[in-house]
Amino acid sequence: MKKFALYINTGGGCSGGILAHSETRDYIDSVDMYDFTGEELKNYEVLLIGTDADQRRLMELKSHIDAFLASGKTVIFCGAIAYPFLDGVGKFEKMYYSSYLDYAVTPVAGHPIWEGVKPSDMMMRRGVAGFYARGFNPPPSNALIINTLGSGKHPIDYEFKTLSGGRVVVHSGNNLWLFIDDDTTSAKMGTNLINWLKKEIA
Amino acid sequence: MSKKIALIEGGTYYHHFTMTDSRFAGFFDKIIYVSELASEDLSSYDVVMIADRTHQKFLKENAQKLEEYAKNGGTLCILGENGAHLWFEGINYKPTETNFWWWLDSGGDIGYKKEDTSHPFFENIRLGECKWHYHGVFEPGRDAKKIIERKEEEGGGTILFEEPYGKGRIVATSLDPFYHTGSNFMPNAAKFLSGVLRWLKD
Repeated sequence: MKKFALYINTGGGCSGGILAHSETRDYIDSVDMYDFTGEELKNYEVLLIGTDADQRRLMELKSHIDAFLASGKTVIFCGAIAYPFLDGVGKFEKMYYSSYLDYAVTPVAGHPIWEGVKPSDMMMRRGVAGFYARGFNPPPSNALIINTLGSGKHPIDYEFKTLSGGRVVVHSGNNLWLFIDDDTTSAKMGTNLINWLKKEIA
Repeated sequence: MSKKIALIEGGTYYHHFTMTDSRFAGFFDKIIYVSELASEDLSSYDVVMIADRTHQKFLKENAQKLEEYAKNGGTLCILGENGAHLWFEGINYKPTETNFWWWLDSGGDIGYKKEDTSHPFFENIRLGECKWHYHGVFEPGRDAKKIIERKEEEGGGTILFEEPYGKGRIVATSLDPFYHTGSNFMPNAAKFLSGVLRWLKD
């Protein structure tokens, strides 16, 4: 299988090993944020955008992202939306924490990316809560909500079809693949993501 | 009279949410998107601050411009994780292993030296409010004022300093307050940024 996903690399160290991991590296090409022109997308089925992407630059390239989605392709976005480069996804709203329960991650729908991942591993690292998400990007009304955060049930993970026929998966926090070398079930999110996409596009 | 501050930022969510935060927005007389830095005239600003974790491509391309700005009397403030040692003459920096978890140990400490409270930086902030984690230390020149230093037994080095440069000065730190403030994470990062801005604005 050819490399079907393109990862926008920022050099900031947030790729978290997905470009090197034995289960994922053979399926992903990367391009530097500022070498990326949008034209490359015609060669890929999936675009991976991580937390530290320059979203002002992505706004300049929005027509390419729109066209990519309109051709039925998939965008995976991890992070906080500051500029509206992804139609349907609202601007990030930060969480205010009033109790420990506000850090809890609650699965509300099964999804292959999160298969076998314990909510407690998402919520905690080394016994400390709050790494998974610190707020949320408001979803469109047709989104399948996968995980929520806190007593306010804020939608932090979801998937939706765009009006143009594309597919978008949003995680409102650190890159899902940041944890790929962890020794908890959180490591599975990065490998599950690529294994799921492999089947989807086969 | 309060100083005019220009901020160089890189279009990321953490730059956006920090520079538009009501606690900080009023400090900035001008926001410069880093990819447009080449066409900006810096001479009318007393201080140019480079937000932490800005993509190095444009900083490298504009290194001479930034050096000229400081040589001609400006204050160039370089926040953390900008690879300044790779593009700014005379900056000596050494990455260190990052201890994210020092505060989990009973009596744990990040290892800063006792500060010189007569330095004007400490008029607005206590040393304890500058603690979360750092990714490296500087070895500034003999004329530098070392404002936050690491204890010798912790490996030594400097976390925040100011140093004359031509008719102006360099202020540099290995702390990354935009990233953590914009990520709704580590409240001390906002206190530190506020302390730096108040000091430089006076």
